Amino acid sequence: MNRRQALTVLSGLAAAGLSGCDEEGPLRIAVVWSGWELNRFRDILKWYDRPTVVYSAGDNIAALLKNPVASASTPDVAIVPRLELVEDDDIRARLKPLTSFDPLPWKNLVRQEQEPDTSLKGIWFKVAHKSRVWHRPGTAPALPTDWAEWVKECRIRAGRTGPRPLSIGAADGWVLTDWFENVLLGVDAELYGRLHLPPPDGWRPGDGWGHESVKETLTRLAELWSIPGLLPGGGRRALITQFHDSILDVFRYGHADMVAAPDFAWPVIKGYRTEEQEREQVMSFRFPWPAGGEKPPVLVGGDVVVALTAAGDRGKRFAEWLTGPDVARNRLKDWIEAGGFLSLNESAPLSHTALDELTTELRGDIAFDLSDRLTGGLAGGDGRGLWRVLTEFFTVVAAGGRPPRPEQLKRAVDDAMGMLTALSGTGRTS
Amino acid sequence: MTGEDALLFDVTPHHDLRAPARWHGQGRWGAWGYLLPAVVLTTVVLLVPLTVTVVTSVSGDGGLDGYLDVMTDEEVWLALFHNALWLMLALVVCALGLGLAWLARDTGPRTRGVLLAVLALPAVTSPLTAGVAFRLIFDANPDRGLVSALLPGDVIFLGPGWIWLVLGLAFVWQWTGLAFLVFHVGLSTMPADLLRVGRVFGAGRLRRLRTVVIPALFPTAALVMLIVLTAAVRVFDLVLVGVPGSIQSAVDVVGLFWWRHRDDLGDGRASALAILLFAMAVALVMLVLWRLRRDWPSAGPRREDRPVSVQGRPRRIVQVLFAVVAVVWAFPLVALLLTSFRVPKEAATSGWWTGGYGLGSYGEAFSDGSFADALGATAQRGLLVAVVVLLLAVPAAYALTPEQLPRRARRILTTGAVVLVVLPPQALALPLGEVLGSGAGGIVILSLVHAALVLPLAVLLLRNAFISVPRPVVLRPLAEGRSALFQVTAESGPAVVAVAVLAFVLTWNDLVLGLLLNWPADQAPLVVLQQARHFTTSAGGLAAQTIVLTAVPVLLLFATGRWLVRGLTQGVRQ
Repeated sequence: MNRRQALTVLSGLAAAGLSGCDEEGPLRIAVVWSGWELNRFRDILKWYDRPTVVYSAGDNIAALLKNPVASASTPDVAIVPRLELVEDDDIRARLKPLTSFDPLPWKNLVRQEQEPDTSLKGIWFKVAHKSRVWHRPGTAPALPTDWAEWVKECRIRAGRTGPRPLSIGAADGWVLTDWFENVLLGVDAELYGRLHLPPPDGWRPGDGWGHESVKETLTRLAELWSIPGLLPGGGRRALITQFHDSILDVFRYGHADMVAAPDFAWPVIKGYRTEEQEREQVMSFRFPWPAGGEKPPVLVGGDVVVALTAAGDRGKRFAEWLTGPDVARNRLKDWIEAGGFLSLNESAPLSHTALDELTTELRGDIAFDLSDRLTGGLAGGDGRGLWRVLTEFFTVVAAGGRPPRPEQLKRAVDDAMGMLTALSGTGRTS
Repeated sequence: MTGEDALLFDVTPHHDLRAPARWHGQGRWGAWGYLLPAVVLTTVVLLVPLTVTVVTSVSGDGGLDGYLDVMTDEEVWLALFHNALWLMLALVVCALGLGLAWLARDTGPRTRGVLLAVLALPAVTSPLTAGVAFRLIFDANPDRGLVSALLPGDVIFLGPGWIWLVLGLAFVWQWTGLAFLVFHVGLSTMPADLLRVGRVFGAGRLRRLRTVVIPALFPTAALVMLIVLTAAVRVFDLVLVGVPGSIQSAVDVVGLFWWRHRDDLGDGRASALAILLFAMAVALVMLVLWRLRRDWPSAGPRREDRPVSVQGRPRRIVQVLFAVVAVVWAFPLVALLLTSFRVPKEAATSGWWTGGYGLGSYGEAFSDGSFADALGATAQRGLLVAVVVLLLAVPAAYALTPEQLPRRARRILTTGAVVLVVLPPQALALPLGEVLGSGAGGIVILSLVHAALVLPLAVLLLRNAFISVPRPVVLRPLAEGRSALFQVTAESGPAVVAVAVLAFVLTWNDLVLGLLLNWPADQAPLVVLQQARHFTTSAGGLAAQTIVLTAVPVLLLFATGRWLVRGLTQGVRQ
């Protein structure tokens, strides 16, 4: 029996040791970054005058904010890339109002209609520009002036030997949604602005996801993506090529000429080139839009800081410190220099010259990433929602065994439309 | 399910003219008392949430419509079908392990030792590690992936279709070793004369295997199958980390589908889906065990261990085969190890055979401190779970040995334990999440949930060992009206160690429970999962983290190896 007593004592000790954490511990911050970005963020946190704990919640961040969760994993502050979470009524109710100095179009993104300035629930910490196409010098002698030109250029190059015209990281659903959103903005910016707000009684036939413009967008994507020889290794390879790999395809291996990617491609481009490649200039141009059309708004994304009411004023204090002038002036330098960080803060240092144009564009006409605002059946994530529809669409038009015939492309577009309208009718409306 | 022993009348002394000694040390109630703590924990953490899930699934929005909705959903069918494939694969793994063990009977002790070590290692690594290793090996870029470099061509291994090969290989790699180990020990303690009789009557190898070997291996085989089938039911992290995002929906399993679509399914349908998965697993386990049992003759009197003596050297071809098996099995971890010792930039852009070695990846893995913290927290939790499981499982297993409880009660309880072993955590997650979310969540609570999930398997393992304890050890204290728990436990030391190690390792490697219960803060596997988001560019740091994650169970394995083998297989000697 003495053995059992010993075990009892042991387990008692273990239990006591483990439950010894108190409520007024360090500030808990949930983020979705990982790896390099997470380390940059930690560098900034070192300057905060209170202890903090950061954890990367990945895709689970939605669950953390939406559902009641165990106290050990309830964040005090969260930095979320999905605007949908800040727009969700249940979550909003659990967020503290914050003081924000963001420029107007950005401020409006975190404001519900008719809300006064005093009830803003989020502050932008880091924003992203998603309407760029990057290329190596000499690979785009004539900058495409519009979408049709670009498709023509890609078709010509696809017929040649050497590097392929484009690389697409189709393994990551958000890469495909960025493509879709950029093209849709060029086709019909007005519809784009409404798509994340389904009417209470659902979309009328022919409107919303059943709108002609959505069809037009898919048709354009199919036209480009189905070009034989467009992608290094073909569409099947593209399907398992992640975002970072697609950047490496262009700037490290030279397998492709161009890649449509956001500003945070920059640190990847810089980080993995050989010494010889580092002397080359990196260039980018604005994502093409249809000839004769209005210049579309810039597709943007961003990470918004929210503080949960449960944390009292601790969260608010941190959020306002993180987005305030002191951090912008003195702490963001490294991250901004390395690239992949665009700040709205006037006090922030200037970014790399390659990104100058981007910073200016962010203060103009913007449209926020649609896939980060969708709810219900269309909400994003691996294997679900818009991500999945576009992945399957890409698979049919680009990753088949042989080049698809026109009627197959048409059918692929119709199938995708069918899935989109079906999904937009499911789930809750926000 | 239960093995009854034929030895109850072994030792009653004839000259004893007193009233018959009371067998039951402290009477039936004593035995129930032993069982109580385990039953309480199981009831609170498994049965009550399970019942709530069942009730939710039928009383949801439209009664049984939840089941109907789920059953008529094409994607659910596909996921269920994929689960069925995994379960079949589990049976293949068991057969493969048995085949290898059968061939390895003739090999010398040194070859055997190497084989055991190499094959058993993957069994203690997490599925997360397996996913990372295999995704590295099968990378489509010939500059990085070894297989693509060796087999240039149009095959894209991580793409649709071929991904099944990668996943299947990863699973076979992970679990064959366990089956091999247990069958190997089982075969070496086979009653030799049984085999001799078989030979004399001219039964061929296969026939002997079917009619003599497999039946004699039953208790062990049942346990191995249970472990591997459970792994197949709970396939989750392997797919999550090993499959590119675009391919995920094509290889969905119910567990993952549930996790992904919990919100759009709604409580009723989500519960129905979890129950369906559970029912499928239970049906298969029952079927397999019932098949095995039918062929299982009642055990004869126990023999001394006598390894089947095989004269002569093994045939050359077998030796070559084992050399190949050992190399192939060691390869994934070696590739991972080599990748972890490369500079991150090199690991991201080239294969491990091109050099570029350094410690940079380890620097990256620990650079932010969160991984180190998570390792500590996970280890603490693992230890706590091991302690709790031992405290509850030892008395419970003792209560399930003969002469403790009435036979029928034992049978019901053992069957219950078998059923609970394959319980997928998805069937508990909704109710548990609500309770934990309401403020009852603490590290200790989470550990109790872990412990409850490991407990049924632990009880079955220990019970197997306890039953095989030599009778005299048990009978003396019993005849004196005392409990034999202490003697039995002391006698089954290896099994107790094995259970403790098992509980620790399962907790250490677990990703699913934390994800389902929204517990991301301090889990080492979760840190690794986050690191894997940009797979290739974080290959170095990822490899370093998975190596560290694997090192702990591997060291445990080497430290307790001898005990583990004996502990896992103690029940064989019936």
